[in-house]
Amino acid sequence: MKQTAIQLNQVTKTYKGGIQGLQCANLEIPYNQCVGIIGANGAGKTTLIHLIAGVLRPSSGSVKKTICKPNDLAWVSQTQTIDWFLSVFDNVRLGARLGGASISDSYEVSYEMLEEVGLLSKKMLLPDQLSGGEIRRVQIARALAQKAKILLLDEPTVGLDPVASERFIDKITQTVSEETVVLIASHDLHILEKSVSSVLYLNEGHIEAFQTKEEFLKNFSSHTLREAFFAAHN
Amino acid sequence: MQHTINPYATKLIFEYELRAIFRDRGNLLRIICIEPLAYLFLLVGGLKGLSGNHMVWGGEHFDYITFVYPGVLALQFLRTFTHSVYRFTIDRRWGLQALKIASGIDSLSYIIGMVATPTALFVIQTVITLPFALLLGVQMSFVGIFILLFQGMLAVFCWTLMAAAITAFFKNYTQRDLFLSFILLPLTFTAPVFYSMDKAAFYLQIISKLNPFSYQVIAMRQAFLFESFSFSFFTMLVCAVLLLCSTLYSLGKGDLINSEV
Repeated sequence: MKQTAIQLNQVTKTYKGGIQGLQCANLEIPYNQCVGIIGANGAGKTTLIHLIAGVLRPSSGSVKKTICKPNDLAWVSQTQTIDWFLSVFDNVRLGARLGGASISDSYEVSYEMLEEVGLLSKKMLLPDQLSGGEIRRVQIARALAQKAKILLLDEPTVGLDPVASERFIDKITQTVSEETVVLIASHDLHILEKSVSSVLYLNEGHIEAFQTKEEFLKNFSSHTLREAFFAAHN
Repeated sequence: MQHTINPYATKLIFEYELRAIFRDRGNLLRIICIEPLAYLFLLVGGLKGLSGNHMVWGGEHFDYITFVYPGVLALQFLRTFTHSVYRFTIDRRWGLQALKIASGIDSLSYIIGMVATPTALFVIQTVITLPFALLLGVQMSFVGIFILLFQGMLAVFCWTLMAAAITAFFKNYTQRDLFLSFILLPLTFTAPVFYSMDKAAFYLQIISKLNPFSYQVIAMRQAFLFESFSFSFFTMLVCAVLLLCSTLYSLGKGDLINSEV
């Protein structure tokens, strides 16, 4: 039996003004999974990611993560979460240092990750000298440099060109192991189709489905995630 | 909730704050060297003539330069406060605070790491000005300097936590800049930095009593001139504890990010 990585018990998140982000969510996500979180705009994908990351507190219920160290969670935000005062290299190195790497190891890991995302030649630039897609790549490299057991990715491929997206899928597929779990919230169903093993479908703050990709497609008599998403949405 | 300091996390935050400040070397030079020395040589040098180089404070007689030196150092708190407001705003605005805490940096280590850089700046400012102060004829003792440094570090701690607290209310950089423009000059001019408040206009004395910076200047002067801790020091200590508790509470309980659904 696979070990549970993330557990949500009766989690509700209500924002100011009474807007419901997530309602009474119960969820158990085991390790060795790549979970695609899908849903329409405002369905609660980002809220779910933020609750798991611990940057939003649930209004009620609890979120538990089975990790050995507090730094075993890495998060790529939907927004440009980056230190504009630091070079690309230092931003990526922050991820390695957050993951517990020594100063010398952090240099090695950062070079490796920058190579992976194709930004080694721009390592000394400041983030405001990069394009939106390149900033996204820095964020992904930083999260990967952390070498965390739980990887939360919120719209990771927004702004990425097709080559970078393919590289990203390869890297994510390599990352998933017995000891890791990856959650990707995205509207890019093509990317999810290729990378995820399970699908979590959200609708207006409710978890409507959490099953393997094959089961999800079968439930909606679909061949692709795109078809299944439209069927579920309608 | 129990809080413990994680030395690795504190060191990491400190390391990155240092990197950020070293990135802008011109600003660093201005903070640690040019500004304190400009105050000491240019402003104090000019005011010395006006005061007749003689001040009475706490019933004792002092050279003007000796009287004003702790005030000049206290002024640097406001410079480090501005720096902290900038750094906390960036950390919040761009979700870096949330990222660091989500990645395992605990709240207390984060705060201590963020405080460490302005504290180091203050110590460096003091060390740089000391030989110049001696050159100008400031009379000082080792004990006085030690107590002054200790109190100064506590004051920097308070101002940094204050920066952490107020940046939570800024929605954008314009609000931040507006706040700093409105707050810094009145804080400076209504505190007894360059003169003794008992000789100032009555309305200024009243405003001065409402200014927290006044108490810090008095505490610094008391430490430097009389080698002792004043009542202001203990007030500062209580403020520091209260500010730390409230900052830890807000980081531990509140949302770290404004999220869309």
